[in-house]
Amino acid sequence: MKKTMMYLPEEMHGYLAREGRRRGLSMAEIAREAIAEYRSLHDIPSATGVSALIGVIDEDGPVVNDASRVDEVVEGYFAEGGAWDEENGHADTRRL
Amino acid sequence: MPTLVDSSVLIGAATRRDSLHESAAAAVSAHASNGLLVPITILAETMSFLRARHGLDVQRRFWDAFSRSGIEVAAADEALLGRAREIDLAYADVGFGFADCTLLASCEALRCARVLSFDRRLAMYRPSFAPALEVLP
Repeated sequence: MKKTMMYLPEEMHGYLAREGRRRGLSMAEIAREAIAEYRSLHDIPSATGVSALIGVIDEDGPVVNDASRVDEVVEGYFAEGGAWDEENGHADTRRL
Repeated sequence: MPTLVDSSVLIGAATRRDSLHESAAAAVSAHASNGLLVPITILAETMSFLRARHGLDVQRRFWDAFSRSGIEVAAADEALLGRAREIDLAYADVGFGFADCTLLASCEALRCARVLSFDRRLAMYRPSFAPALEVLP
């Protein structure tokens, strides 16, 4: 992730803070969700047919080999003590 | 004849910085006019991969794009799951796994001998209705 700074009107800042408290999320998480939804909505008219799919995951970064390691990634995610356990709060109990 | 698409090619086509992106994108573009089909089990595998690798936001973006792509989804009913298990038993030494076996069972159900996949093991499967399975690109 990249760090960025922006100025927000007080009302918008207050809304982010309240919404974050209400849902137990950080303001940054709420902002990322909102940007993702905005992007999704505004991308809809841009492409149809298979071209809609091509390059839709366009994050910057080094070259990856995801297409040739699908099974490996999924197995690692769901492995005991893996990311799925961590996200769901099971990592500690599994270690007991 | 429609062409079945595997997770590896869906992911490669969608991911701009994947080393196989150009190849995957060219493959889906080249075969789109004859119809592309993704078994629901393969779509689920793809979605699980994207969640694991990138998180929910990217999964949702791919989901929206897939919905607009015109790629059809092939259902998996009890008969297809049964056929997939038979394939799993017949090719136990290869170890295709659940998703690939349902992909191969879909080939049988749809009499489709062409699959877009980077998993070359799929070419080891011998369809009942054709001399060989064509695995591209």
